[in-house]
Amino acid sequence: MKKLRILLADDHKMLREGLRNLLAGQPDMTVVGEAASGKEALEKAAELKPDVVVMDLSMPEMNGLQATALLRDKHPAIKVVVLTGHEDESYLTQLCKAGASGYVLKRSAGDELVQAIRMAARDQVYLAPTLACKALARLVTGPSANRETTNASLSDREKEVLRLIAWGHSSKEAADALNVSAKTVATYRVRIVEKLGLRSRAELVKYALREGWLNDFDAPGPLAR
Amino acid sequence: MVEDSPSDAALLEESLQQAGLGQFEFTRVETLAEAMTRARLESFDVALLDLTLPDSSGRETFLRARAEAPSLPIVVMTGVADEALGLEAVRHGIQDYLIKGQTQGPQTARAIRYAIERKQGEEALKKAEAALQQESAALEEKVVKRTSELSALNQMLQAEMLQRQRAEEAHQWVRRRLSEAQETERGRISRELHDRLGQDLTALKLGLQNTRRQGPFPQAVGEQLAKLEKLADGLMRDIHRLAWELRPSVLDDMGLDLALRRYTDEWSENAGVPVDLHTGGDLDARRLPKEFETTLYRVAQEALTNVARHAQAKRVSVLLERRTAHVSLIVEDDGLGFTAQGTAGAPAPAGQGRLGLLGMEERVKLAGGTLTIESAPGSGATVIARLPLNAEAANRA
Repeated sequence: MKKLRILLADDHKMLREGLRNLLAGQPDMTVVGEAASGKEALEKAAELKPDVVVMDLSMPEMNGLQATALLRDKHPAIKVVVLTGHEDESYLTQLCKAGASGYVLKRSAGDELVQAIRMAARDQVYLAPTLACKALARLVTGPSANRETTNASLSDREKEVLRLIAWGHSSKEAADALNVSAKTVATYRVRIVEKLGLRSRAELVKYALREGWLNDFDAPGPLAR
Repeated sequence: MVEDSPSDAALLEESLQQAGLGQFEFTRVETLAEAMTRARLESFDVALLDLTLPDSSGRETFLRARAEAPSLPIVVMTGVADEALGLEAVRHGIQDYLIKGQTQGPQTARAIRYAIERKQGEEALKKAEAALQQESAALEEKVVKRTSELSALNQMLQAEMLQRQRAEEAHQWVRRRLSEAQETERGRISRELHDRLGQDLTALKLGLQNTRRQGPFPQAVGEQLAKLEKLADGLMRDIHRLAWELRPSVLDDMGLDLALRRYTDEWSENAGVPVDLHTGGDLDARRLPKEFETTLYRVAQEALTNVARHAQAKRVSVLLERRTAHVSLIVEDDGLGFTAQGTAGAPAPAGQGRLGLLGMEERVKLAGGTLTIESAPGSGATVIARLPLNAEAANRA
């Protein structure tokens, strides 16, 4: 059976050694080279044409994210598995865009990395389970914050209060703008929230945005500042 | 009586004594020179002055008399032909004039008495005027002195104010640098922990795994290896957490939007309170100035920490919006709220909550922005931080 040819890119020598040992123990893998920077990883990849590059994110001379994007752009056949300490799904999106096939956390480097490399070679994607869950949760909860709101109609005054609050004004500022007391504004707010079934200021903002009520606000003026 | 004609003098004296208007005591001299000498040596109530004397005549007589005895009441006596001269005498400070042979005793006596009183009045007036003038001069001097004192004080005050302003600016500058330095240092330690220690630990763990694979080992050794691996795992998690708490690398690498997302997720999970995060204004494409990102991130952290500690909120909103001229961060909860004094609703936190608010305010001020806090017991709290985006800030981004 043809062994998977692997390039290790990490600026940390001991870590590369550990990884080399780990992969050397796999019957279907062979490490063909090592690189200590993003730049070197690109050069070595062009020269050695590995099947999979195991890429660290924080490296000198071009970080792993940039290197991944360039590598995938130039050599689409070479897969990239990112090995990182960043347990942050924020990086995940960026890496997916850059064309990484795997996202493995350093603290679960052992078996997960081996598995991720095999999957990458088969054109599959491996995501660290904890991150995958979070990303999925965002997909589910994120946009769904556009909850159905009752289509109750607001009075002009209530609409005005909602607009001002949603724009980011304090109750006092809204009160000053409408020439009423802050208490009155608070009362209006309670009524608006009850009518529309909104649960928080954020939902209020989203509602106002959806209704297009904030479009004409971003103009110079004492209130729109 | 200055009169060289004894008959005229006798006539006048007689008519006066007969007028019955009090007693007159006469001293008669015949020349002006003698009159002036006597006036200097003795005290008289009034001088009756004939203008035609052996050593002086006409206007010269009253001019000299007036000049040499300025405070002596003088009544001039003239002949019929000289009425004009009498008038002139009055204009030159002589009290009155009598025309010889035309005035009766009582009239003359009255004229003399009036002359004395008039002169006294004049003298008193003169004295009062002099006193007034002196007073007013003194006052003027005082005013000048006070004015110069005041202006000196004013100058000192202005200098002091300028100095204070400079000191305040310098202080502000130092605090800003300090805060910057602190963030830089935190970032450095965070990266160091993450990149160096994290890597070492990963290597350690891989090494342990490799070793284990080379087994089989006696059970005790295998167990020991497994334990060490677990220990390395725990260390990696702790280091990662510590690095994130010091300064999340995502804030520098990806910006405030994602860093806030990450932080609110974590916070929500720990506090058990749902967070609605809304961000707007193209924050990914146009990063805010680093100082602003740090400031707003720390304010959000501080505000949410307060909420977790005191508010007993059911729901929290975190809003980050970039507008044309400013960027604003709003953290609003529906919890207990607090009073204007800045103490939280039910369990009044002595100082700590207040300190949190002050810390936020300080941060926002240093970045040139404003912090507004609205709250009332029972109706939650709103923290609004606004930082101005001017052309410079936009360019710095």
